[in-house]
Amino acid sequence: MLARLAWRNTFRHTRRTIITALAIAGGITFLILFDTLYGGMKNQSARVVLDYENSSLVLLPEDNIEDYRFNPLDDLIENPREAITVVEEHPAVASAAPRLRFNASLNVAGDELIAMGMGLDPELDPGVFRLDEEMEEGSFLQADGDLVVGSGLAQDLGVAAGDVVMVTTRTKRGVWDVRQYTITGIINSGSILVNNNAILVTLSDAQTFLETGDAASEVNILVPGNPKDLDRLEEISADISTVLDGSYDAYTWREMNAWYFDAFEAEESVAYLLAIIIIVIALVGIVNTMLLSIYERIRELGTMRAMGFSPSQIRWLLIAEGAIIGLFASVAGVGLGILVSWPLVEFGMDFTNFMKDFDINMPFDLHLFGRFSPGNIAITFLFSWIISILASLIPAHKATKIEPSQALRTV
Amino acid sequence: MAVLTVKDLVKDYKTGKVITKALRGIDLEIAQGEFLSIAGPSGSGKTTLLNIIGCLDTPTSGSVSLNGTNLDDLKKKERAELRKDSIGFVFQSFNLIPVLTAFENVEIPLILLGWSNQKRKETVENILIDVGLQEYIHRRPLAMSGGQQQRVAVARALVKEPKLILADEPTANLDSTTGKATLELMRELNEKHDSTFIFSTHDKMVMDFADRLILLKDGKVSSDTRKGKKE
Repeated sequence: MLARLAWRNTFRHTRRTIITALAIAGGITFLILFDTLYGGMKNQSARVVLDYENSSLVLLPEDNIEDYRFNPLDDLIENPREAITVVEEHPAVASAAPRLRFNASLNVAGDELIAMGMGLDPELDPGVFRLDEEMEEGSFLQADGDLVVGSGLAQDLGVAAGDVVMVTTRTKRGVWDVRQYTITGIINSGSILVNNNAILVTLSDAQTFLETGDAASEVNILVPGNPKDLDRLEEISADISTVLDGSYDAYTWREMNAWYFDAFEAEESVAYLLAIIIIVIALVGIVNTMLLSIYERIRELGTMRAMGFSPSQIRWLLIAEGAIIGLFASVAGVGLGILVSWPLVEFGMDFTNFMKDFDINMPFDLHLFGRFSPGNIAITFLFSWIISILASLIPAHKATKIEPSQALRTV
Repeated sequence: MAVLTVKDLVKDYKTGKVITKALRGIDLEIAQGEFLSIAGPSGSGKTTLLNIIGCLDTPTSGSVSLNGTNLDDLKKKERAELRKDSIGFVFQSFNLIPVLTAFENVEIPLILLGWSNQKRKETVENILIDVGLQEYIHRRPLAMSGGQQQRVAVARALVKEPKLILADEPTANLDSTTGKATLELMRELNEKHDSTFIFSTHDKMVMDFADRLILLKDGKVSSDTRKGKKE
């Protein structure tokens, strides 16, 4: 009977109920849209890292991770081939490829732009990364003397495949060296870091150019399976470090990009907090609506008490009313949230033109796709519903304090 | 034997520093099956007396005993139980729950008493037939006239066959014809169920209709007249 009464009371003032529910639903919609957007960004960033920048595990010289981003040439893996042979013996490892990173500048007709140089093994690299699949023009590295330039960098310099450019770099000995290359390919990958900054040459070319002998900056190791299972990757990483006798350190892709993902997650927490505040503010609406409803039917509640309803029955009645509003709001909010976010998941959103003038050196894809997280949607649904029920406790408690004799005197 | 005994009942209301003496020592004995009216001008204490008898309020001093139970000894929850089990209320403004149908309004007291579905259905339908509302059982209060609503309220008060029915100005919102019909209905039910009816009123028709008339003035009984059962 209480449930039936609560249901009908909820729709006694339909417009008021709808407005209250919509206010909460709006907060939930925003939260789901935000979660979808962030989930998509995070997922895509992980994909970008894994497909183009660092694979599942990265082998670095011991204690080199702090300086890694500065591309030091004085602390390298001296014999990457040997390390790869050892690493590939691990049953979880599918393949591995060395890379030699260096700082460079690209000059053409008096214009100069800073670039991120990468020496790749044209045979091994495609076994770990997908750069070779992303050629916009020309071909991927095939032989020494080939140069592949990121599409954004090429656009900034106004160059295309077949154009001649000068690459300036400093060798391991600290000597400035300049070489002339003919661009053999333009790459347009999912990574704006690669597109806007990278120049790719063969590993042997880079080794000669930089006077590093057979050395490489890193060995990227592909471990098939769920890359987000970081516990598993850390176990494999520990195995590899042990096998290599501690002379190199193996890091997961997440550790290699901790600066980005940590900042991302910190920002995510603040944004989630804001979204939750929006929902909580909306829930204040429930308290107001229900208090108003109690004052409007105070005599009715007094009559119910006169008939023998106990205070706890009155409390449950009002909690049930809050639960019904909360349920509607949560269902509507989740429905609207999915509806509003769906185009983002299905078609994505292209920020390329909007962001073209910004210098973003992050593992990021400017054609952003959202990603639904069923777990987070379920949590949002339950959270909103539970908070709605909790919000109704305040008016419910007030209703139990109504003295029937006073309530019956109310006009 | 008295179903209700009121002894030296006093009720003061305090508003800030002002004390209003609503009841100043009421003594009454009311027998089972009586059909009595408490009358008096506004502010004479009629509603206060009814509220205390109906366990909706507590006295400042004095005592009320219902079927041998001293109401002073009861805790809040026990008073709620007593209201649920033994007292029916009829209000001036009917006080039906607007989102429930006539049937559902009348059914509430039986649900609170834990009656089975089948028994509830039969009992509610019978009493709605008794009050002449068999055609209106699925109507909500706002779709009924004042007289029909008051008949639903009477049915709701009587459906659990309480020993005591308290009616606070039951005809005040009704026209004289409907008011008379409501009183006749209550009389009929009083005779059928042997329930005790106590009205508060300042309606002359109600005073004339009752078997016993208690007049209150300034919180005291100014007269207590028995007229015997009306035929």
